[in-house]
Amino acid sequence: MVRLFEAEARRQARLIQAYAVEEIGQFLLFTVGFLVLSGLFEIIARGELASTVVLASAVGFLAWRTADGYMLRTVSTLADDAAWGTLEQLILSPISILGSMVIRGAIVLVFYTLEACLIGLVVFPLLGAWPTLSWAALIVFLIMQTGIWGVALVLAGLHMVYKQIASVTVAVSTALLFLTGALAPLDNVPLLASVARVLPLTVGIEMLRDLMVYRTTVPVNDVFWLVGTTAFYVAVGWSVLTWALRAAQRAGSLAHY
Amino acid sequence: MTETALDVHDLAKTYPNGVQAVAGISFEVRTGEILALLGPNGSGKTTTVKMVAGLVLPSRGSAEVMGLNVLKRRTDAMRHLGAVLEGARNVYWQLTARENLRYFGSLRGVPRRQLESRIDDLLTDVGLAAEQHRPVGQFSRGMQQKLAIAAALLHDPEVLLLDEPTLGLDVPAARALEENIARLASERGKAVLLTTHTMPLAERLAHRVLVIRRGETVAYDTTARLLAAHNSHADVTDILVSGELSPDLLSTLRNEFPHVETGQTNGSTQITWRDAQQAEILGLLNWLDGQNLAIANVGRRQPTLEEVFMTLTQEAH
Repeated sequence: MVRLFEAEARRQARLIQAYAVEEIGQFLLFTVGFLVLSGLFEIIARGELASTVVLASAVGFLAWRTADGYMLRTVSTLADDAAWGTLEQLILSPISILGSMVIRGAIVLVFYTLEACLIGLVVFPLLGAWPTLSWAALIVFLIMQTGIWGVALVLAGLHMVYKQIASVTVAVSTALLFLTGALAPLDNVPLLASVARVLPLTVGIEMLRDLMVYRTTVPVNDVFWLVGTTAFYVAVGWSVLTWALRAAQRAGSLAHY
Repeated sequence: MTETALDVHDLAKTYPNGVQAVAGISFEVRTGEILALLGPNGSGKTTTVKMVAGLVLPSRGSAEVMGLNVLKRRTDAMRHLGAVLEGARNVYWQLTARENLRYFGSLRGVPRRQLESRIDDLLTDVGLAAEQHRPVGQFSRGMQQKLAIAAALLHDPEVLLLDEPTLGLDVPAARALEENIARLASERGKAVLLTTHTMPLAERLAHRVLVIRRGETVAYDTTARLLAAHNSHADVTDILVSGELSPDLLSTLRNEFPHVETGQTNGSTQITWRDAQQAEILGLLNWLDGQNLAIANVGRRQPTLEEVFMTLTQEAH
């Protein structure tokens, strides 16, 4: 099993190397993008610069950016394989497609977490504020990203059947930025706040802010809620991908793109 | 001692849109044997290969690789199966040849200690050892195809599926690949299921031939017996005429002798007539003479697999 992670890590690293310019472009886009967005949101929301608020925004944004890259890459890695003709070769291996997605998900998450750390290393000194790192925050982060993996499985499954759903993936990701309170807490919009709690990032981001910015404990109910919604998204993703694989095999469309 | 490596029984596929691609075909491939699956476009060859690989779900029937059902015991069956599908689209173009083989070797469970030496052997076998550190995107199509075959052989499977392996290759590359495939069966004992539109390739390589049309079996026999069966009641007459015929004359020829096939190259005209009686040939020669055409050569020969294939698939109309 370790070998499979190693092989996937090497493959992803090679792909990133092959598309290095695009990766650097993404890094710059999201770094500069956050600075622009956070400044604008500050002015709109409060009319003054408060470092705790901006730090909360940065933590939410970085959690979202990790999820955004993670979700897009997890879906595109399957879509690319269909386009390159390697998807059928993956399915011909003794590893199940779900097993492959677990391995890919883990490697891609490591990559985007590292990217988020790099963005943080640029952004936090500029803001003059640093978040507090803790094991609890890491665990919350991993649980919420696992929920995102579940969403990615749904989208990857839909791609297997319906093809060309990249725009849907981008739309979902963008919606998560604004609907989960990633940039600014949703406290002032109660209706949206309660609806947003079912989304995979919302509660996780709130917990990360409690742990990393406000340095408070997190409510136990929120922990159960986060674990529950994550389990739900993983279960749905797993089911959709399994169904999609059967549907694509029935339609003979695995290699279509 | 040969054994059945691939056993296909009553395999059928009707797609959800109602198109019946395969109507129920059965065949087997033994160790060390090459079976050519032949058929016109849309006859169900690729669907058959993909059902055998478990990539397309059959409507009915079964495929067993080394006695393992590819759907019910997929994980075990896949350890005995390698496939090259869809031309050169089987490997990652951004990775080097060696990186591709490392990746697929890990995926297919080749033990770590054996993998590097296995990669060395395969790269040497397919003649890519000198190019192993180049990204595959820089390879020619023939090289990509060779690498795809090497990747399919990493876990040393008993059964190899090759879907149109020489498609798009130039003659030298196709010949080199053909030699590789022949060696895989004769020296390594692989059971090879091969689809191709290149009949001379199938005739040279295949021990047995399965011809399908609209998903149904038209002929299934050893290549030698299939050719012999058609030799007994059919042969081919080739007439070479000096000079090219005018379009009007060609049209008249086809009206007078509707069963002939014609081709014009290098200032001469080739006229081919299958299954013609002697009197009919004499009639044609007299007609050509009457048109003041110089007959350079007349010969009778046994039909090729391509001609047998044409006869079989046309008879099935």
